[in-house]
Amino acid sequence: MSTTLNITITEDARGRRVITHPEADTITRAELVRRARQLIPALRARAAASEAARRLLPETFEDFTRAGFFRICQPRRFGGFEMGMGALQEVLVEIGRGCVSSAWNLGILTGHAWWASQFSEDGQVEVFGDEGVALLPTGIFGAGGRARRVEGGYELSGRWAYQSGVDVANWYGCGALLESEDGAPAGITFIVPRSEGVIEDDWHTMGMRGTGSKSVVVEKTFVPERRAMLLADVDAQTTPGSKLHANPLYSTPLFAFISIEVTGAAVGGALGAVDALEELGRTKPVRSRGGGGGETPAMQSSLPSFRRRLGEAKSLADAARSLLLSESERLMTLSAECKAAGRKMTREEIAEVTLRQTRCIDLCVQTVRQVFVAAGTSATVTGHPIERNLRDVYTLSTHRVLSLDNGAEAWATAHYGV
Amino acid sequence: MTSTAVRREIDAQGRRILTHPEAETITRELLIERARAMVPALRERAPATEEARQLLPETVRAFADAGFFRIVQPKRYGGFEMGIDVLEEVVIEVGRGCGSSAWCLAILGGHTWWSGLFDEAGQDVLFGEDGHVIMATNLSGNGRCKRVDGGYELSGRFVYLSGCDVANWLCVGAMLEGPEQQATSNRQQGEAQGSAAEAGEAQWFYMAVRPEAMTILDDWHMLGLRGTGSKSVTADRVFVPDCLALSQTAIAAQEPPGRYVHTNPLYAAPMLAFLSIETTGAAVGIAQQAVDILEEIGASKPVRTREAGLTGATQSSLPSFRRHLAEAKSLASAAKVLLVDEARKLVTTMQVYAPQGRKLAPDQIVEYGLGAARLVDLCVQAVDHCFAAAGTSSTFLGQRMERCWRDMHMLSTHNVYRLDLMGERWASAYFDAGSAASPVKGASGA
Repeated sequence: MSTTLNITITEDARGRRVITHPEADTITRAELVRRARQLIPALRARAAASEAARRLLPETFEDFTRAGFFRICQPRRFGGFEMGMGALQEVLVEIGRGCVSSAWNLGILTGHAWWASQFSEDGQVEVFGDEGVALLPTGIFGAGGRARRVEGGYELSGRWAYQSGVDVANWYGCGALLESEDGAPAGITFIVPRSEGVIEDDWHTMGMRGTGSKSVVVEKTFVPERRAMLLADVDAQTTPGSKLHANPLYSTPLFAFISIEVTGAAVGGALGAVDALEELGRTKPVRSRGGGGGETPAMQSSLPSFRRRLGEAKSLADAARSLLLSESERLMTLSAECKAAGRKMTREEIAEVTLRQTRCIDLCVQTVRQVFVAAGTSATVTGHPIERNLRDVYTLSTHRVLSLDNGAEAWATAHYGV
Repeated sequence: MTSTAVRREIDAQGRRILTHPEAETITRELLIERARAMVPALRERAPATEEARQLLPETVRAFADAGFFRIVQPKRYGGFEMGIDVLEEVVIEVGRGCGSSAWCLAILGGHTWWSGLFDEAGQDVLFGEDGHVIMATNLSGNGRCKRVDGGYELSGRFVYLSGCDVANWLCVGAMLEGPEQQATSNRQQGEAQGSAAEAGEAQWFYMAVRPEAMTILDDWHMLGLRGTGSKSVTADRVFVPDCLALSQTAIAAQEPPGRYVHTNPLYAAPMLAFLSIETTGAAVGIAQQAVDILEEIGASKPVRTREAGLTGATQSSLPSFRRHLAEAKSLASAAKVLLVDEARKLVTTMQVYAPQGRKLAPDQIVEYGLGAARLVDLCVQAVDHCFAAAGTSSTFLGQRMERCWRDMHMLSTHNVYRLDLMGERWASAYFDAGSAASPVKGASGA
C-alpha cells in the first residue's frame, strides 16, 4: 500500500494547486511516534543488513514512506503534515533506537523537504510534484560547486560529498559559489533532478555505514531560476518560502533548523545502546575470576560497577532526549514569536540552538562510551549492537555542524560579535 | 636469525646455559632505536595486519631479529633479562606504527618472563635449544585437567589468545578435577601448594602446551585490534608433563619455582603486577600514534569555510584544533610517564623485596592494575580528542586515525583495564584483605 496513491489535488480560492495527503487532517504526533516505536524490532533486525548494503534499505524506505514520516515538516499545501521540529525529533529518537543510520537518513530527508519549502513557489510546485515527494540529500554549503549566470537561470558543476540518503532521492540539493564579475563569489543553493547527477560509490567508513552518504557529481547542468536560492536570502531570513507559507515553522532560520534536524538519530543511538546494556545486565553471567573461571548464577546486573555505568549511561541519554525535545519546542516557539513580532531571529539566538545541540550530541557520545565500557570485550564482536552504536555515534559526532567545537565557536562569535 | 646464533654450553654445576650473542652488549637505547626504525614499515603493514587478523610473519621475524622477544627473558636461557620498563618503551614505539603488532609484542615479549617462572626442568623444555619462545596465553583458568601418570590431561576451551597463530607455545589455566584434587603434584611446588591442598581449596595450574596439540578456532572478528588474532583454542585430553604445569597456588603466594632458578628479582614479581604493566605500552603507543597523525593533519589538512571554500590555511591555525591536539598530546605524554614510572617502580620494589623474601601485599599488587586502568583511560581520552579534531574524513576505512580509534576503544574493554573492576579489586584488597596501610584493617585489628 502506498499512501501517495490517495493524494488529492485541488485548487484553492486563489486558484493555486493544493495537494493534500489523506491523513493531513487526522494524523497526530502521538500516532507518528507510535508508528516509529512499532518499527524498532524490524529496524534492529535489519541493522546489520543496512550496514552491509551501505544504504537505507528499500524495505525501511518503504516503511518510512507508508508511515508518512518524510512529510512531517512538509507544507500541507504540498502534501505534508506541517508539524513542528518536536514531532520530527520524537520520531527520530524512536527510529534511532532501532537503527542510527536509518534515523539519520530520515532526519536528513524529512528536514530537507522543509528546506525545499524555502524556495520560490514555482520551485516548490515543481519539486514536490503531484505526490508531494521531495527527497533530497543536500550539500547546502558552497564549497562543493561552481555556478555561473546564464539566460533564465544558472549553469552548475560540482561534486558534493556526504549525500546521505542519496540512494532513495529524487532530487539533489547542491550548494555552490556563484561567479560574479564584481567582487567575491556569492553563496547559492540549487535543487537538481536526480537524473542530472552521477552518484559515486565512495562511502566506506567506520560508522554510519547504512546512511550511504555517497558523493554526487554534476557537470554543467542548467538550473532554472525557480530552483535557485541565494544564501544571502537565507542569512537575511528573507527566503521566498518564509513569505509564502503562513506557518512560522517556515520562517525558522535555516541554520537553527539544520542544527537540530538530525540530532534525534544520535539520541536514539544513545538510548538504543542503553537498551542493549540493560538487556546485557539481565542475560550476561558474571564470571568468577580464576579457579576454573566459570559462569556464576549471578548476572551482570548484580554488580555495583555495572549498575553505576548503566545508571550513568541512562541518565546521560535521558538528559540528551529531554534537552533535544525541549529545544525543539523552544525553537518553534521562538520562530512563532519572531514572526508575530515581525523581527528576525538574532545570530545569538540561532547559535544558542546550535550550541545546545552540540552539547546534546556530546552527551550521546558519553553515553555510548559508558555503555561500551560496561559491556566488556564480548560486546566488541563485529555487528554487536553496542559495538555498532559506538561506531555510529562517534562517527556522527564528527559532523562539522554537530561538534561542540563548532557549537562553541559559533555561539561565542555571535555572543561577542567577533 | 638471532636464534641460530645462540651459544649452548653446560656450566660447572651441569646446568644448561644458552647465551644470546648480544646478551652483554645490548642496551635499552639500542632496542628503542631499533623499534623507532621499524615504525614506517609497521605503519605500512598495518592494513595488511588487520586484513590477515594476525601478526604478520615478517613482523614476527623483525621482532625476533631485533631481540624484542628476549628483553625480559632469563639470561641463562638466551635472554637479555632487562627490566619491564625497557619492554614497555619498546612496545610504545612499536605502537606508534601498529597497535595490533604492539599488543602482540607486549604479550609475547612479556611471556618470556612468564616462561621464566616455571621450574628448571620446565624452562629447559620451554626455552629449548635456542631460547626462542613465543608464548600465547589465557591465564584465567577456564580449563580442566586430570592427574595422570607423570603429569596431567588437559581439556577445555580458551578465549582471546593474542598471537596464537605465530606462537610456538600456548599456556592456559586449568582446574584440577576428580578425587585426585586433594593429592598434591608435589614435584616442584613445595609448601605453598601443600597448604592449599590441605585447606581443601581448589587447585589449578597454568599449563604450557605446543600449539600443534591444540586447535585454534578462527573466531576473531572484532571492532579493533584485529591484527592481534586473539582467537580461541581448544584442548581435548592433551597430556602435559609435570614440569610444564605451573601451580596457581605457588603463583598466588609469590613463590614461583623460577624465582629460585634465577637470581634476578624480576622473577619474583607478582603475576598481576607484571601482567598489568605488560600490555599497557600498546595503549600508550596507540595514543602517541593518534597524536602523531593529528599533528600531520594539522599541517596538511586545509580549512574550508562555508562560503569561500578553501582558505589557504591549514587546521593547525584553528583554535579548537590546537586545543584538541595539545590536550591529546599532554594526555598521551602523561600516560607514557606514568607507565614507565610504574614499570620502574615494580623493578625497584622487587630489588628491595626479593632478597629479603618479602612479598607484596594484595593492595600493593592491585595498585599496578589500578595504575594500568587509569593509564588506559588517559589514552582513550587522548585518542578521543584526536578523533574529534580529525573530522569526518578520518572516519573512512583505512584511515590511520580510524584504526587507532577502533584499536584504542577495543583495548580498553580488556578486564585488566576496566576501572570498574580494578577499582573494586583494589578497594577490596585495601579494605578487606589485609593491607598494612588500611585504616579499616587497623581499626578492626584494635
